[in-house]
Amino acid sequence: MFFFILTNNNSNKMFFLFILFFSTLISISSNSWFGCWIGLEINLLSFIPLISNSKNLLSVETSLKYFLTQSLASINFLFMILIKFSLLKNFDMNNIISIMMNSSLLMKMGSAPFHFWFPNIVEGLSWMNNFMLMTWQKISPMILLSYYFNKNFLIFMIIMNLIIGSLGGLNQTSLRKLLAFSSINNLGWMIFSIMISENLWLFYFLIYSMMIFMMISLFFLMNMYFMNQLFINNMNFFIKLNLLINFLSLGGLPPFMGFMPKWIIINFLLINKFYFLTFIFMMTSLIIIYYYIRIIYSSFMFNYFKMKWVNLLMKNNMSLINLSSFISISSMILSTFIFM
Amino acid sequence: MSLLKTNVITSVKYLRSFSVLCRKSNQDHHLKKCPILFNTQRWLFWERHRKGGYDTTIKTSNWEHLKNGLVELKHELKLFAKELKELYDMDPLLIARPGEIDLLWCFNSPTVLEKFVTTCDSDHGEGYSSCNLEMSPAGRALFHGYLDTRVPKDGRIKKAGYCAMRSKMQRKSFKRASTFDWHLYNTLVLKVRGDGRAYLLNISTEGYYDITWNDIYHYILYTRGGPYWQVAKIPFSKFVLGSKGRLQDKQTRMRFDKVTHFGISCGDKIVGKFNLEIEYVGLEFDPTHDEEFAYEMYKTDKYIVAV
Repeated sequence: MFFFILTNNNSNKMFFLFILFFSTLISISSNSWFGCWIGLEINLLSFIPLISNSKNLLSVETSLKYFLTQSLASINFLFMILIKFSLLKNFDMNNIISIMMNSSLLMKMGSAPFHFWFPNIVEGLSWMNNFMLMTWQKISPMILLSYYFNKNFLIFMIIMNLIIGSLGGLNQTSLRKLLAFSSINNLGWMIFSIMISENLWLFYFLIYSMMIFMMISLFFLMNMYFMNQLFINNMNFFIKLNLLINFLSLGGLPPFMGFMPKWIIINFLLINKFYFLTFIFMMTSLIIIYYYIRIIYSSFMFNYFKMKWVNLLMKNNMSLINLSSFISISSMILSTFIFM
Repeated sequence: MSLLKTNVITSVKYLRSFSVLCRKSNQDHHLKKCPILFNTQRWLFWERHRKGGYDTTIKTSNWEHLKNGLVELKHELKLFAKELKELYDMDPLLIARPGEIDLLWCFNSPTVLEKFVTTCDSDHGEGYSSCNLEMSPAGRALFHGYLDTRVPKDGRIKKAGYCAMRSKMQRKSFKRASTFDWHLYNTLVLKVRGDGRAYLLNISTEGYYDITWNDIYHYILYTRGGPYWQVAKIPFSKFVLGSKGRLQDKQTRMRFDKVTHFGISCGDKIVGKFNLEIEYVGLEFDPTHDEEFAYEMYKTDKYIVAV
């Protein structure tokens, strides 16, 4: 992201990026709910200039939609905070106010059942902006969620996230929307991990961010936004292999990196006898891997045109791709050398 | 399919409402058809009505609405079942093979003509042109009429003379508005037989907000007058952005994922008959065409606005 900004002579975007990072830190380190809200608002205000690009009508529409949904969620959050201050003097987490606060934070994140804006907006953003939206923008709502959550409500939301994330991506042809639904599914895993412990959530989040970064950087370098571009372009073998490894890693298939955080969560689930929830986690992962494999085998098997003048010259950028493949395959095994 | 009875519009109402902040100037109020006239300057970009204030609703009683609704219910349920089946199949169109033209409309039967609406300036008393869309003797669609640039003398209209045909809004089941998804393609293909006049191809991409409701991408199609058909392949990169007919300073590429309407219009200021015979309108993916947008936008200084 930095490299991209520096090369495009967009130093003003660097300014907004800095404020974006700072706002998340404000939000998570404040000792008052009001400070949290301030952080969320600054987050919104600094993200909008990053995504709006007045040269493109679609991106203008997208940034306006993002502003409207996020500000609605912020208003809700502020209102619930004020009601909590004025009416509730207890620390009980299982009440209607916690449900409302959690709802507004879930809407901020793009979690089901408030997810309808998410694929729509992801469709209108460039890859780098999508990366920020899918990773950094989730941090502060997640952590705020962990401060005051309603367990039963959140478990219901997790189930909805998993199901909608898996079923929503089945009929998609746009790569951005596909990753959006995958992100919604992974939100389900992340919300559950933050209910267990913050360290576990951080671990899941870092690995998820790394995987998403590898996927998005691949699509960004090849300028691919739709599935037909996967089949049309004459990709060399290593790019296709990287695509295979990263998609399966994102789906949570061993022995790739993406399996590790899911393994730990499943371990916790089974130890604490959450059998029904485990079943839903497994089944929805299966559906997601189904549509990833559908994309991968098509890109491996089908190559409609072998036009000689369309030649993806990736010689200069192969190092990033090779490194990402290596990390995805070997990190789980290497981590056992370090930690076990 | 139009299952509603179409009533002839006998009275024309003007509902062009403007914002409170508009200035009003002195007007003639003795005209029959237009009781309220405002020749104003707009101070806002806000659009109240999607159709620009022209009242095109057909008045039917509630009982007729109910009867029509029940007739349409069966048809809508079938459409819904078809949609569910498509969702269950999970097999969207992933690729457009080059050299293949995927037809949007093939005008070989009168039922296809119902998917289009024709408009001209005489519909709302703004001119004297007339147009019609029907089947030609050769078995194809014929968009024909008479273009008249005479301006009606009501003091409000400065220019006249346009005729257009436009596709109706795409609908999913239960009349939900839907859009075309043309992301697989990059070329529009038309097989037409014109009369030597220039026609304007309009692709409308109404977005979500009212600012882009009137954004239409235009391309001038020059036709040959002869008896031979012509196949026009126009890449989407060549279309120019205009809003309410005015070409914009800041040009951008067309968005392919949510296209709402396609239309053809005739407004070349030549008084006389026009005839355009259309065989099909289709889409193609041309892998050799890698131009993203044909019109360069130069980097200007920051004090030059709107560019």
